[in-house]
Amino acid sequence: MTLNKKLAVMAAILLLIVLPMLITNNYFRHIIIIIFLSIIFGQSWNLLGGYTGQVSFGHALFFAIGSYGTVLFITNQSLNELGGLFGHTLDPILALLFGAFCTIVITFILGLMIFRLRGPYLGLGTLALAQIGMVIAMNWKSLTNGGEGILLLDVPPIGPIELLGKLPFYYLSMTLMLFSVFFVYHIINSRMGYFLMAIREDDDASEAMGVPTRKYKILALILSAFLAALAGGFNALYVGFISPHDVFALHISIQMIFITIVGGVGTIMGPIVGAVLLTILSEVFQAYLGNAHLLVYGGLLVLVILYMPEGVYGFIKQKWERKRMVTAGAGITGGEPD
Amino acid sequence: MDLFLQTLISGIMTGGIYAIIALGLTLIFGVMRIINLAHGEFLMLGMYGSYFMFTFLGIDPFASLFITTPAVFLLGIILYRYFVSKATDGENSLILTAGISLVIANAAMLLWSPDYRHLKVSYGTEVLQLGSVSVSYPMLISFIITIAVTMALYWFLNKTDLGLAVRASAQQPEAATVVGINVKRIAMFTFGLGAAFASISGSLLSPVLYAYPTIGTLFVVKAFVIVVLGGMGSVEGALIGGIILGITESLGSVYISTGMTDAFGLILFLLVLLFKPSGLFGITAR
Repeated sequence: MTLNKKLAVMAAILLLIVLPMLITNNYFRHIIIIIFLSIIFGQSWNLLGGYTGQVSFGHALFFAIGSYGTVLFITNQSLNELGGLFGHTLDPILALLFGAFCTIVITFILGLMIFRLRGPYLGLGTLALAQIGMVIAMNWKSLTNGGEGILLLDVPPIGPIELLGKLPFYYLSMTLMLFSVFFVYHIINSRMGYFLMAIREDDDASEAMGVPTRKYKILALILSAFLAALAGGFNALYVGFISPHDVFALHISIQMIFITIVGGVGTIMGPIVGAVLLTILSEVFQAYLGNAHLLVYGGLLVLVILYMPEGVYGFIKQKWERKRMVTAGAGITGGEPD
Repeated sequence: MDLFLQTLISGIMTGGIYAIIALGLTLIFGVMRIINLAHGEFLMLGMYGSYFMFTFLGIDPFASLFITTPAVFLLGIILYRYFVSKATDGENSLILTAGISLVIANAAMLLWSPDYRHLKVSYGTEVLQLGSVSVSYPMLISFIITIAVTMALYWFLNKTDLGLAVRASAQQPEAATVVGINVKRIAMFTFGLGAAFASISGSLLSPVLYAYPTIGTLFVVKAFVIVVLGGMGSVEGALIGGIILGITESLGSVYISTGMTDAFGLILFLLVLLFKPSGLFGITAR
């Protein structure tokens, strides 16, 4: 990262920290929280689908396990005793981590099997996994309370901070969002990141070059699922209610894909752009189209795949760089010196 | 024993309709290697087409079939020509069809509201008594049409020039091009044909099921299960797979529970996909 970029990132973070002072309207705060959540969605899916090239249609599964793990940690007596180790001061955080831990364990087992599949078949397989998860959650009534779902009556505080109103959730989601962005950024700029991108470009060739492809696909799946689980856990704390039909829903998996693809696959900025764009658009259109606002989602996706394969962010970046190149080129051919 | 026989027969009837949905999907996959996630929406359009023709014009769903099916066939061709054929690889076309599916389902929701609609034909509740087993008339007619349609497809693929061209494009796209088959046009035609099959099943289901804009999702998952069980791209496999799924669901919902049956189907789907990708019967894709 260049110094300029570092300064820009720091300025952006500072802005996010003071933003709630400027925006006091609860509705707008809610929208920003949803954008943060969507960014985590996008970063999670992008790590596996964008950087590693393994398209999943079942990320709702990881979201759901994360949210059930989080809720059960708070509502289940024996699990909750684990929180006693910290004097119950960190319960929501521990609950999030417990949800993520459950997801990692289950994802590891699934990862061992699911990467027998490639390309579109992997998409179908993961789709089926999420559906199976939903059926299990519907029928395992003693754990999940079946289709009625679980209501989280009161969320325990984090230390002295009561999780009430929008403000604490704003900062919690902001922290998780920033964590997800830096987490993926760090992976992508490590040795592992190059392995993942090699697998995306050519699975067999990278195996031949000595990349342990299976191991790294499973690792990418686990890390991606970990982020999705954090999003699920946060969502459960924020909404206060989960049911199999809400958290295992196909539209959650699809939303993660759309945010990434509309924004720009395989870039850090892409999911951020996609999350902002899609959240605002769907809020605006929800007012006009009601339930049918997903029409805009679908239409935008079709247009982006056909006409902007690099996504909205990639498209803008390309235009901007071309413009800069044209100006630079003018300098060489005898135009005005800078 | 009567209950068993009754359940078995109704399972076979439903399975026949599942088979037509799966036939459309497997045709498209066989020729273009495209997994069409918008397949269920074509079924939904067929259902609504028959519903509206019955409500406003009084045309029987088994007759309006001959109007809705060509319409959806055309829609399929247009969608393929201008959208689906432009996607570059398998994953992209998968995501693209997911987008198309969302657009069609939500446009339907906007135009026709998310209400459940029911088409009530006069013979809707009448049954044919065969000894101790009773069969509902709409289901029986649907089953007969299913058999006719499947036989027509079989004849088409094996005996006509166009059918042979479709099979050639599925088996060896390059070789087919060399011998003068316009593979792109065949692909377009096949996509329309696949959509038409989904639409037929929608019309057949319209007297027995409620129509609503997102009903497609329910059936597209079933169609995938069938296609994977029977072997991707295999016509015979789709037929056998459809009947097996119909019987399993029907027996399962009577003797076990509906929820568990759904899970069973999906788990079987995943296992076959993982360990025997050519399908349960080893009929290889053609």
